[in-house]
Amino acid sequence: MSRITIDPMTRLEGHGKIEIFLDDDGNVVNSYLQVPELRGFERFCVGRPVEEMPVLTNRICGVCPEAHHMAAAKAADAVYGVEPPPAGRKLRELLYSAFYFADHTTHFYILGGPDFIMGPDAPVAERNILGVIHKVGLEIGSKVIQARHYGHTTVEMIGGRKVHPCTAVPGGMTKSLSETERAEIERMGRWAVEFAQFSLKLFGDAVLGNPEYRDLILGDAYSHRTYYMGLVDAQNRVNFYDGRVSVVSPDGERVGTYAPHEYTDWISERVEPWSYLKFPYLKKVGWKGFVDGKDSGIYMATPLSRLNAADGMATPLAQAEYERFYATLGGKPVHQRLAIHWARLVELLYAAERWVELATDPEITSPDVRVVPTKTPTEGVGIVEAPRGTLTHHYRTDERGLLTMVNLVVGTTNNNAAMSLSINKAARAFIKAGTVVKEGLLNRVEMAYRAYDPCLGCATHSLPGRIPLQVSIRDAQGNPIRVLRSEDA
Amino acid sequence: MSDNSGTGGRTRIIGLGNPILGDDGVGWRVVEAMRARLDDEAVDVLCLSVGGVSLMEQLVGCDRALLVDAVVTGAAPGEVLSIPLDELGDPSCGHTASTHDTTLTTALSLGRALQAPLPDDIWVVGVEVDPRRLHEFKEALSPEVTAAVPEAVRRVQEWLAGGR
Repeated sequence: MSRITIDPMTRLEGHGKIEIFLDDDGNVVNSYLQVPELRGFERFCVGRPVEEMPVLTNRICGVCPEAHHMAAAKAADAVYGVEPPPAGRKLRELLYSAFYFADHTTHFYILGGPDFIMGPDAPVAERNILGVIHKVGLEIGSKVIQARHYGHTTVEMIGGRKVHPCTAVPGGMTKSLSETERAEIERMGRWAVEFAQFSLKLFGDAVLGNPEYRDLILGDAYSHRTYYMGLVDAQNRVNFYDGRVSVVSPDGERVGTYAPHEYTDWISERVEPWSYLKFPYLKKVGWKGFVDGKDSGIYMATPLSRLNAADGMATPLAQAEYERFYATLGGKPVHQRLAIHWARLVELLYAAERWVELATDPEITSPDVRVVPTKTPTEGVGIVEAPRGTLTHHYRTDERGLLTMVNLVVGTTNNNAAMSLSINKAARAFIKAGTVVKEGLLNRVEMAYRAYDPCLGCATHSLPGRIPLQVSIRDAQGNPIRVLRSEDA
Repeated sequence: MSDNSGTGGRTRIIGLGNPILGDDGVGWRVVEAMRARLDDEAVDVLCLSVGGVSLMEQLVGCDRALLVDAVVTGAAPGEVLSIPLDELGDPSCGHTASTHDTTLTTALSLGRALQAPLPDDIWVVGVEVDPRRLHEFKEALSPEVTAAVPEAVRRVQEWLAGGR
């Protein structure tokens, strides 16, 4: 058996890598994304006061600290049995909407989008944001930076500091919003709506308008019939911050919705000997191995999953885009993984619209932003939608509020099994007997997991994104017969 | 391009890493030790857990910048290196990249293409760490890396002194 390894050149040896196993004829037998896990987070937390968790967990990684901050604050609310007042709740969601906007912008323009805008066979040196500004114009680069700046500024104004917010505490927020700040946040939010519309137009022109990309998105190579998951509000519309988790089947039927504290009734975690990362699956359906279909409990939690699991979007412009999305792709649910990129842009628009809605809410400047907890702390679960999937924090404490148990199910981990399916299927479609392994093909395999926007930072250390890849091809005895580097391609 | 640099001091020292991931937090320790000894308003000190575009945005508006981070080059844990960023090589600059982003080198090229005022002088003080020890959450540094902190601080001071 031969073995191909797509190994990102990180400073951490044996970090995330893709292993593709071939048979003697050069056909793909199996493929896995392998990552080592960071250990000991629970042990690190046990014994600490639960109110430290919103600040502590946002240090797990530098990519989505806001998501951990919010999930931890909500879990701590639940531990103390306290509900934040309306202004506190809305400030959290406003911060979170601005964060989503910056995060989705970054993914589309810097990580995933260049594959489409430049083309999957473009040289690696061009398939990045620099290539994008070269092709689309310098102005696009300035807009991306501006979008991030507005998102981060709003997070800082509400969250108290850059990158790692610190104002969400059990029972609400530590500070309210002044009218001056509110007006500035509203102004930035209105710009964000226009930028999101511009991004959807760019996607329409550059990607949907190109038959080759359309075929790539709609083709079978990146399609799996799995279950989908996402938070919904009381009207079953997408919500990033709060609600119940909706689960739909591969046929699009709603299997049910669950409240955060019911998550253990719905989710189990599979352990495989070759990976430290667990594979969550739907308990009610069961684990049937790395296969898709209605009998397999593998689910996906991504922007596309959230759209599939909901009945619509809560804001008008995003709702119109939601309808166009399903009309174009042939109805719900959509199984093609590359459509995640488009779904992300529909969410980008929703995040921007929600930002403006909340910034213009009459309650948003209320000084009443916190209910001080008075009950004896016990146990609680907090769930938010991280940009890359449903994020669950579960804490148990003693009567003094000192943690005795911590469990996190992080965004990317939800998609672990689904990503393995995608990598395997893409590898089978693009690597066949007699096919010369070249960078364009391998990039298509990478595209299979890049669409999920994997952030392994929660489960592992940070991992370089657009970096040279090393591909080792080994013969049946495991000896390397060829080494390819993507920068040579 | 707008100014995203925050306070935009002339000289900026940035400790990089994750303070709860063992030796990965050494960059923070070094700059915190540095901060206690600094008495110069033209020098500001930040601790960050970011890379790529986010890190580039933090360099906008500085005349010169120093990144202090854990590095893995194959040397013995605790060895300290002090070199220009250009000489470190694109992918090896540790925590300055993430899967959700691009490398710092690409991000700097982006910033320069957009005519952002970025410093030409970007220096790195790196403390060699054993990558096998970066997978466990803890606040303490290993003995070898703890012992390297004073030397790293000395190299930071050397860089500061050499530039003025």
